[in-house]
Amino acid sequence: MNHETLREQVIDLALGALPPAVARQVEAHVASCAPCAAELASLRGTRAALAGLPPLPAPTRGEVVLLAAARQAAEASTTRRRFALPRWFWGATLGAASAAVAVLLTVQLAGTPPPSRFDEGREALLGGAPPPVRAGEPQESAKTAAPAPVLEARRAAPAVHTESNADHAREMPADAPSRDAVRSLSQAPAGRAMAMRVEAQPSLVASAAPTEVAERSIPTEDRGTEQGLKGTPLASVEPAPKREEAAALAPAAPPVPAARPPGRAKAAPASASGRVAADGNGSANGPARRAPAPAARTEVREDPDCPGERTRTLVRDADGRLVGRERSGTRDGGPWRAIEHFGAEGRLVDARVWLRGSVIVLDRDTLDQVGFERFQELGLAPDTVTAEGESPACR
Amino acid sequence: VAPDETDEQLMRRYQRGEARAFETLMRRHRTPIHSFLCRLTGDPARAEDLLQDTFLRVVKGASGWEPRAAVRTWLFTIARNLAADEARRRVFRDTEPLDAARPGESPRVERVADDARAPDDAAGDALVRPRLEAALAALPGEQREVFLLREHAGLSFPEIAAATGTNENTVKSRLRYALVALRDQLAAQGVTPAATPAGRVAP
Repeated sequence: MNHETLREQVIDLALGALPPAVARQVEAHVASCAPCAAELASLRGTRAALAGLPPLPAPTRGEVVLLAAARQAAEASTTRRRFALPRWFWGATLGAASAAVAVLLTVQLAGTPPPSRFDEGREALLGGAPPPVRAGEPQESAKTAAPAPVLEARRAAPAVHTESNADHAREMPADAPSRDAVRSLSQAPAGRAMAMRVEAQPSLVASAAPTEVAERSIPTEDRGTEQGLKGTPLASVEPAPKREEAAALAPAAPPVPAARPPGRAKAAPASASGRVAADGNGSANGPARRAPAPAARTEVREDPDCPGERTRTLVRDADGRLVGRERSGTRDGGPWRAIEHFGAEGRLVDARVWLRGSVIVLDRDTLDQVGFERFQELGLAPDTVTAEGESPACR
Repeated sequence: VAPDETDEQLMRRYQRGEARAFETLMRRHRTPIHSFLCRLTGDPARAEDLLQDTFLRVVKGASGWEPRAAVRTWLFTIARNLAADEARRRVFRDTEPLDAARPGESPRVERVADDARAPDDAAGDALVRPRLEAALAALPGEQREVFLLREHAGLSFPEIAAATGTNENTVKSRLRYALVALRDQLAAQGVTPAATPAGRVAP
């Protein structure tokens, strides 16, 4: 046994990498060789010391994204991409967004109570038990039965807020219609509701009112829109947190409190437009729903020159920048609807899509954690799209 | 999800569309993978990104996993390859050497290590542990990855060879160099590993 081989074997012995028979031979040698024994002891000691290094616990902040992605992938694998958005949607959406940072998450199946926030935890993300109903949210049934107006009511809050003061806006969600009002409004065409949210010009509201929408029964998820608006120029000046909390609790709010003044000075100029819309539908309406955002312009198109779209509502701020878009129509044999919000420079801030009985959410919070590009690299993001194939009117 | 289910059982269930099985797998392995990546890269922020990427690969590539490969080995292989790719890109981008860490210099890992709970063993010693981390960080990258995959991840020589794209003899050679270098490095810092109780040596 030459010296180099022996040296290697001593190291291997320390590493536990020798076959038992060879290990016994080397141990026998080491027992009678002081230098080799010292070498073996120091190497073993080194190995043991390093083996004692503690684990470095992983941060948990990325888990929510992973769990959501896992659920999405699992569902895709079992339902043949049931929740994947078709290329045409992203063609229009991302084509309009200069730098979309978003993740595709499926958070709701038809008929299940909508998990309102990703941070409600893994139950919601993994789709097992329905998300717990929070104490402040007793009207789950109303929300499910007639969700659309609730959404619209919430969406009214930030739009109004930009034009009034913070206190008013904070209270606004509490002014959401009573349950009966919600039910009756559930029949309202989405186009009208959209106009109510943002409309400054009564004539446009009126024109939006008769818009026929095919998917009245599509469950309307309840959140994200206001959050999206935070990123728009309109809302960027707002103090956000309280308002968001209030909006999130909107469905839990009792019917219009008697003590609340029905109209506020700052909301008053707008109420006319709200009444136009409400009267057109014969519904009772809460004051909040009449509040307009005078700075915004709304453009409603019926039968836009886009495949599969029947209505398209574009919302622009005072400078003409696109801040919101609602589209609906029929694609792939079923109704669909999408609400998208755009921030500065046309960047897509969030999107919410109702399609084939599910709600698909592009949420900025979640996406910022990972980054759209990485999801794209991994094939988890929607198709990399351009507006290819879409007519200019769809951009 | 039964707590004693094997990784492979969980993986099969996830392949069949059970997202909860993935959750269990992820919780089971994220800290070992994170520890590996932290020490491999010497940079907790990069390690966190790579950890996320690793599991995103699993999310996406679950259908590509085959039962003949141990899930754990598969995970470490993914993590290692992502780290290697990223390191290559970094080198290309800012010409930072692959083994940027120099002897006695791994402050970022030390910071993370200090946050971790310290069991009262030799490595947990507040004085010794940073030196151990520094000695690891001082290894050439190819030795460090082999050492971590063998000693911390517990992969076999053939598995390490497959994960690192080399052969078993090279793996063993790198492991020998690594152990000797670690010993010498620690000795230079006044740490005398031989004093560690022999009973702590893993079989």
